Formats: sequence, C-alpha cells, structure tokens
Amino acid sequence: MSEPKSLLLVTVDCLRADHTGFMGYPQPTTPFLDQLAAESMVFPKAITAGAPTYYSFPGILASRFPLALGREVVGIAPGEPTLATALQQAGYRTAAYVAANPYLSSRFGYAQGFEVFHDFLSEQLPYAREAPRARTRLNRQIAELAHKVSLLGRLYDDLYFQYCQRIALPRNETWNSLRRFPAANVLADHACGWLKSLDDEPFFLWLHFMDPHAPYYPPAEALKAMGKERASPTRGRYLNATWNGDPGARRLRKSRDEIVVLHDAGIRWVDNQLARLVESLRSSSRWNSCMFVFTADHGEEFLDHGGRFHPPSCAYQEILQVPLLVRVPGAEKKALSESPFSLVHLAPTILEALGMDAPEEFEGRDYWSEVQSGEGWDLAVSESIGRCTNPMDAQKRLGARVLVVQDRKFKLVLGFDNQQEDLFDLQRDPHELEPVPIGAERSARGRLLRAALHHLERRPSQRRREFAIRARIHQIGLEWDHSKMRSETPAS
Amino acid sequence: MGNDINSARELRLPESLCEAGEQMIKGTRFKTVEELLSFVLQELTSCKSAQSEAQERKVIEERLRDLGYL
Repeated sequence: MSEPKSLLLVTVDCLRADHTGFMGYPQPTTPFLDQLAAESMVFPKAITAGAPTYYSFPGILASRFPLALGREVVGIAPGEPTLATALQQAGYRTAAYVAANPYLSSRFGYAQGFEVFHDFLSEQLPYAREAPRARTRLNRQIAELAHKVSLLGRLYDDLYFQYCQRIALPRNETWNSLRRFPAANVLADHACGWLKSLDDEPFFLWLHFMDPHAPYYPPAEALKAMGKERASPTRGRYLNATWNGDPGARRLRKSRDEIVVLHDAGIRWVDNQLARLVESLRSSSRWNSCMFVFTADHGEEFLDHGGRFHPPSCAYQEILQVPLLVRVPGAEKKALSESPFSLVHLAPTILEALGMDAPEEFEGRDYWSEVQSGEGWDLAVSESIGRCTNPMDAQKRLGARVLVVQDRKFKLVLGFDNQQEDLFDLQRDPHELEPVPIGAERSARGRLLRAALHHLERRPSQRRREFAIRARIHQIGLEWDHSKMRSETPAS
Repeated sequence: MGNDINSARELRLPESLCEAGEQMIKGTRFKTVEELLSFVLQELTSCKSAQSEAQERKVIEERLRDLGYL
C-alpha cells in the first residue's frame, strides 16, 4: 500500500456518533458517508478529549488534552505544533474553512499552519430581524404586576412568548434568512475553489461545519431530502425559541422530536455537500491519493438526561462519543476494537498514515499500525471545566474539572465541584441511567481512578511549559481586548 | 505574593523596549514600566490552576486509599 499524499479533515460541530447512519442511526442523515464507510475504518467508540469546542479542538488539532497548559489557557498556544504546522513544514499546501465558530478563530491560535484560513466571522449573514424582545414600558409594568402572583407571572410570560412567536413575526422568513452560520454549501464552494487553484502538490484541507449546531435552521433542500418538506421556517423559529427558552419540561419534551428533525437535516446537508466535494476530488483524480477523516468535536443533548445543547458539565456519551471514519486509499478495511479511541491520538495517527513522524510535543500517540490490525488502544480520558460556559470569563475558566476515564466496559465520571464520582457499566447500562453502587465493582473503580491520577500526574515537558507561558501572555492580551467588548460569545 | 519594593531586584532591559513600554502605558493606570511588568509577571505566575490540580489529585488519592489501592 502506498502512503496517501493529501488529507481532507472534516469536523462537524455538535454531531453525536449515534446520529450517523454508519453508526446505526435509522434516520437518513448520512447516505453518502454510509456508502464511504464500506471502504473506510469506522471507529466504534471515538471519544473527544473534552467538550465543548474550546475543550475539544486542542485534542483534535494539537493532540493535547485541553487543560494540559493550565486551565487559564483557551485554544492553541502561539508556536504550538499542530497537525497543520506539521504538514505545512512537510511542504503541504494548507487551507481551513471554518463555519463561523468564534472559538476556532485566529484569536485562539487555530490559523497557525494554514496559508488560507477563512473563519467567516467578519462576513455579513442574512440575519433575520429579531422578533420584538424589548418590552414596552406598559408591557414591563404589566409583567411586574403579573409576577407578584407566581402563576399569573408564568401565564403572562407564556402569552408574551406566543405573541412574539406567532403574531409579531417578521414577514417572508426563509430558512436561509434565519440561519446564523454559513451553511455547508458555502464551505464546499470555497473548498472546491481552493482545490482548483492547486497544482499537483499535496494538500491539507480542514473543513469545520456548523449546520447541526443550534439554532437549528437547515436548508429547505435538506429537509426535503429527509422527507420533512412540510416543516416551515416559521415553525422552525418557534421551535428554536422554545428550545432555547425556559418553557418547562413538558413543552420541551413536546418540541424535542421536531427539534431533532431540524438538527438531523443539518447533518444531512453536510453529507450532501461532502458528496459534492468528493465528486470534485474524484473528477480531478485526487481522490485516490487523499486520506479522508470525518469526525466531530462533541455531541449534542436532546433531553437524554434532561439537558439540551452541549454544556461542559455534561459528561454523558451523547456529548463525548463522536463519529470517526478514516478512509485511506488502498488500506484494507478492518473491524476495529470496541475500546474507546481518544481523539487526542487522531493527529499523530493521521501523520503516521501519511508517512510522517508526529511532533514530540503531541500527547497522543500514533496508532496507525494498530488500526491496521484492528486493536491496540484501551482507554480514553476527557476533561473540561464544568462551569466554564464562557471561556472569556477568567473566573469561569478557573473552576473545578470534570474528569472522565473510560475503558471498553466501564466509565468513571469525577466532578470535583460537587464530589461527584459516578461509575457506569456501559455494557449493562449503555444509556448511563444508573451508576454502579459505590461499594460495587471495586476493581474497575480502582483501575479507572488510578488512570485518572496518572492523567493528573503527567509532568509537562520544558517545551510545554514554554507553550503555557506563551499562551498565557497571549491570553492576557485577549482579555485586555475582551474587557472592551460588551457582548458575550455563546458557548459552542 | 508581596510587592515590597525594599526587597526589589533590578532588571536590565534594552532602552528601546523601555521606551516602547512607556509609550504603551500612556493614559493607562500603569504609572511605570515596572508596574506593567509586575502586573504581567503576577498574571503569569499566579498558580490558581496548579492549586486546583493539587486539590484534585488529593481527592483521587484519598479515594484510592479508601479502596485500599494506595
């Protein structure tokens, strides 16, 4: 087998493993990828090194656990080696198209190693006019009076919500006018254009799609492809406003299935555009020398354990387990081990498959040889700061860690904020409904606790200490900038 | 960390860097380049993250001890 020459890395925001067809999802979210899976390595249990995005991507691109440079640091440190810098140094042409996720911008070090880095953050999207949010003086007075009696207050809020969503709506809304991120076709257009500009050089192209991220406004074509063409933008706005609000458990449960349809259509649109991009690679005869890697930064909650979105405090598999599909031309497809494969190993494994050594600063190790024999990894660690919903807030960043260690059968969740210590038997209880009683499974508990301790006892190398200093100097600058900003950036 | 100037140490910096620093702090709350550098070093050396990590290690060690593994 000759080594592949180029690399196409696709990451999707908020895509849990069990919402892809090749991981068993019954809805038609990924017909193209399902087809590709027949000639690819599909990891049965790929685990992100942290969630959300700002805790996940240091693992994917820099093969580094998110808190390894200290919890003060967000993003990639200046000068820190990444997959992109390694490939650029090896002579690859490099480009990244990132669908307007503020935490994956050049401010956080992600442009390093890319000759083209397009994050779409400064581009005007066709935002819809917001439904009226500011209450008039009369409205506020009525609200204050109503809230003196709790049930009346709730009724007033509900009526006001219905008024905003059903009566005071902007006219002629479309899915495209409601969307907050560039859709997959926009990224695919840019990517195809960049690929056309290349000669026969090896390339590294990274695409990060946001289509399945909330608020969920998929293109009408994607809904049609899912057989849900009757969904209307007006209904979509109402559902998103409900899902994003605090309407009570009953109404959330009622909206859940329709919200999942919108989210799934976002996945379908990514799949659809990937088919187009791969077709363009095929027609230019590059596909047969291109390694293709498809994964996600983290999953998404749909009330599985009562929650929504992807907060850093949530350590259930719907957030941590992501799809991972690796297609290497000419490599024999193997059934891979059911043991958890941490995304911290992804970058060194990719480099090995491309015939290169990983930078010594990478924390993960290369598993390409093991992947070809189907097994060899056994444990995955994930970490985040549970209360850090806005990493630009220094106090939130410095909170307590949520540390998760899992092997093939068991998963230990340690929440240092509230002395949480939950052990789950994932084979007997795959949906993590009931932790193993505290006195049971002592040996498994001890093994995973020792792995957790080992993780915390890692000694940073001199180089990593230098990156930590560089990153913190950069951070001081960012915070100085941020202190002048008024608006908060949402967690992603 | 104290800021006792009586136990201060002298550092040597290139003149051009001192001038650039003086330009930078004009109109800010930093009165001198020394104040600016002290602030930056305090930020860099505050060990909040390391303290939390030590506490977290201790919690795990105690649990391992409870289970008889340490």
